Amino acid sequence: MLKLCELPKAAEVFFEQNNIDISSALAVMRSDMAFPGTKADTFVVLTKETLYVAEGVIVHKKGAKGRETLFDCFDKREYSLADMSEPKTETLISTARVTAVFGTDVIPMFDVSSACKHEANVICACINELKKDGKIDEEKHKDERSKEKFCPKCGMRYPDQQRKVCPKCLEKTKLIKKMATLFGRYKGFVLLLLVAFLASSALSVAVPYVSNQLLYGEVLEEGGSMYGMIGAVVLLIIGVRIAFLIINLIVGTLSSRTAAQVTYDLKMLIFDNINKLSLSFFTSRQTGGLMTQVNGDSTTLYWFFCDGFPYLVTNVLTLLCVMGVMLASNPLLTLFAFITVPIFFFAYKYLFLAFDKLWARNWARRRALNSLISDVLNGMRVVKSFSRENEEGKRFDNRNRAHAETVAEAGMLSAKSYPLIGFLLQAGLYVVWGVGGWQVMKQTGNMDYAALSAFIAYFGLITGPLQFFADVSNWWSECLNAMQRLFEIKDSVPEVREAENPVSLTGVKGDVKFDDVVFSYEENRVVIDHISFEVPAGKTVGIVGKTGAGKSTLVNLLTRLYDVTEGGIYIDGINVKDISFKSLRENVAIVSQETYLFRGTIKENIRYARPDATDEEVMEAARIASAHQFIIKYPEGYETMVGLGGKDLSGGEKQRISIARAVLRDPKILILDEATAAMDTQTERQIQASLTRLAKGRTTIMIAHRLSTLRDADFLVVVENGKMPEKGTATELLKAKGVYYKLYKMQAEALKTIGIEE
Amino acid sequence: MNGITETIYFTAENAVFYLTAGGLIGLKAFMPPVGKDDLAEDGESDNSPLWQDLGRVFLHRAFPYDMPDKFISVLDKDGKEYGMIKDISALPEEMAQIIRAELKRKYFCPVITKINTVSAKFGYTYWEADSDMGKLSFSMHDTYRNIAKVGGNRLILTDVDGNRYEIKDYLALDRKSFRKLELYL
Ligand SMILES: Nc1ncnc2c1ncn2[C@@H]1O[C@H](COP(=O)(O)OP(=O)(O)O)[C@@H](O)[C@H]1O
Ligand SMILES: [Mg+2]
Repeated sequence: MLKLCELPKAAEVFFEQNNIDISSALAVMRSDMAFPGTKADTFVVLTKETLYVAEGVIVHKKGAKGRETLFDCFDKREYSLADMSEPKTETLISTARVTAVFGTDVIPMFDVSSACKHEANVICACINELKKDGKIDEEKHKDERSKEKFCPKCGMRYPDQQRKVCPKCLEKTKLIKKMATLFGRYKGFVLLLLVAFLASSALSVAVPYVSNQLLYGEVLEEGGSMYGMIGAVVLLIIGVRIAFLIINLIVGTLSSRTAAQVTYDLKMLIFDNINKLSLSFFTSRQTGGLMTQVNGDSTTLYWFFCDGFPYLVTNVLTLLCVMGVMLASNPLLTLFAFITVPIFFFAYKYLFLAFDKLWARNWARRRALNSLISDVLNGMRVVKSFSRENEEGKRFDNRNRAHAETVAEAGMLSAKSYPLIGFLLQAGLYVVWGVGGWQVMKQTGNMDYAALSAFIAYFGLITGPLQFFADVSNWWSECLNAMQRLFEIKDSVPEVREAENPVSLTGVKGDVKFDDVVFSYEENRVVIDHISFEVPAGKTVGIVGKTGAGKSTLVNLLTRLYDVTEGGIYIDGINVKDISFKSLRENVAIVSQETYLFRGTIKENIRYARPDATDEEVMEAARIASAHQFIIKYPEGYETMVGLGGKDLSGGEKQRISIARAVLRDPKILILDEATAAMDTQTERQIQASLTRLAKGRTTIMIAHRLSTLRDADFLVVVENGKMPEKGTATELLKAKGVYYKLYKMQAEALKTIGIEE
Repeated sequence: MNGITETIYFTAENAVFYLTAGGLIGLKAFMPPVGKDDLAEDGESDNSPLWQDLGRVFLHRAFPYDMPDKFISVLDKDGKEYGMIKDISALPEEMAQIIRAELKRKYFCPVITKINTVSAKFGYTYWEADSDMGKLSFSMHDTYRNIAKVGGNRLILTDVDGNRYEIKDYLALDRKSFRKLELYL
């Protein structure tokens, strides 16, 4: 049985009571909605003949046998598979409705919320399979079993299905281990650091010892072992201080260097992996923020390792040393000294929460303010042309004021609370003064003035670490979060993967075959629907269709930016999935609709396709693409800077450079995806002529919405709504009076109105 | 600017909305013939309006937040517009009722009345709230961006699954709920 959810006992009992044999069920799912759009617990059971739907709520009751869980059903329906056709989930705004056709009527069968849309799709697919083959291929749906949607450890549903990370059980130790492996390469440094930490902590305890216990107890005290040696002791104090300084200097340099190196390594690893990931990774995430996020997160890590980690270690060590020394010299006084520490921790936590909220609000308002500023600045032309300066000024004033308010609030809170916190932290000191002073006067507990003064100095040493520990937990969780996000990117697996034993192509002929290709970017929306055609080597095929028909998608499948859902694409009879990426990229070049020029010179941009090309070849490619004429007009010729911050080129000029880039590649299979759409007709004709010459001996796939562009194609494939209603030569298609004929007529009419006839 | 495009507005005079056998919305309307090719061969086909049964139709609000009951687009299954309903309340009562019910289903969105807890962890926020449809519990990612202010003080929250929840007026929430929510505005 395909369990898309765990069927609760209560529901199972209910189905048995209604004579529905759960053991013979083929699939079950649970929905969180009922007709007509209410929250409920709905169970759907699919058997060989029937789809059962039971809507109700799971209730917990106190019954005769203690607590009972019941399924309180308020409606049950059944639908016979024999009468049913075209089951599908109709997407509503944020929910969906599963419907099917019975006779001539469309009947809604059950409702689901977005959380269960996927399961509903699987049920529909299962019904179709059942009707077609009489059975469900459970293997195929194996990945869709419910257990994968839930954290295997705690059973909680993953908050984000794409990420499969359970925040509750996020394995901190694993993360830290992974991070530690990155430090592994710098073992020597880390070891040195630890030794330095230890020395620094030990010295920090020595400082008060020398400047208090030794000074007051042995030097200034009559009868002390070093009585009168004031010069020596001052030198000693200075010496200890200097040693302390030097060690801290070493720690600082060492840890900054190692941390910088490790974050550099991490970024490099991540960037390497990002490059390998499939395109879908970027479209499924807000890519705009991807690199910013990577940078931000590495900075968080850097500061933690550079600043936080050394502090953490030294503070723990210092705290332990100092406490040890304090306990050894006076256990009772130590106890009194720490009496106020828990109060301090509570107060600090509480205050932190208050600050956190304030800063969160402050941050949100600052963001609102900044977004308004950048919005207005970017849209200044529009603001001015509709003379809306005053309104924008008012909007700015509102947000500016709201932001200023939170800044003032936070400032006031810190002004009020920090002295209080400081007082709490110091409160232990007052207790020490009181109790210690009393002990000195009474001569109990082995106390004298020197010991008390050293004790007070020790106490001064621990206030720093205490404050740090109150703070570090927040820092730490922020840091874990950053680590998690970074490793998530580093460890993500590309969806389009190279075959294990990829085939390298040699002597490619260039036969291309699309065999019953089906593809969808997202569930439930087929973009390419069973398309098959063949392009014999050396021929030119034109793909026509309206925008959004799926033309670009079709060729992107050939270059394996995405992988087909069903069917296959073959080059010389070899499935593209089996061809090595290197061979594929060498033999297939695409000039896509979205041209992109990197920052650099025009020459570098053209050469990107083949870095070893000679300058003559670069120019030849540019000539073929009709780019040479305009490039040569620039003062800096082929060395003109383009791309971000460089010279602004027009759409048509960029396209011509992109074509030159592909031409230079000299591929066996050339794809031109509306590559000439942004050019005037004359330029297009020019390129067309040279491309026709270029097309000799290579397979060319040409996409265009201007039909005249495809005059020289050997045959045409018409794509409409992801389907392929027609293919054939232009003449055949015109005779057939189908989709192509209509397109042709429309364009011809448009030309006629401006006095051109083709 | 009027009269440049032609839009059919469905009223009591030219349209009858009814429930289909499956309980979905169907439409009979008096309008130019539907389903004829835009590029008919002869170019001068007869376009005078007549009564037709269009079967099942789909409804879509043009201004879902500001005017949920006005300007309802009536579409065919491919999303091509037949015409619009200017104002649902101008239609006969029983037609208005079935249209409102269908829209309510399509724009399903529980209304949050009270926020019990919000906890943030590892970039997600976990919400427990009361709504007009009972208790809700959901999680959100990128919380700031998924709380949209729509006109005045109304908020739409979108959770990780894409479910939506509405807060009619966030200033009218009780103090405690507001404090929890405020951090993410
Ligand atoms: N990355 C994507 N994710 C989801 N849908 C997409 C994506 N790219 C394109 N589409 C959709 O696929 C359909 C076909 O797009 P496309 O192949 O670009 O059309 P064409 O090139 O024929 O104009 C369109 O409806 C478009 O919205
Ligand atoms: Mg395209």
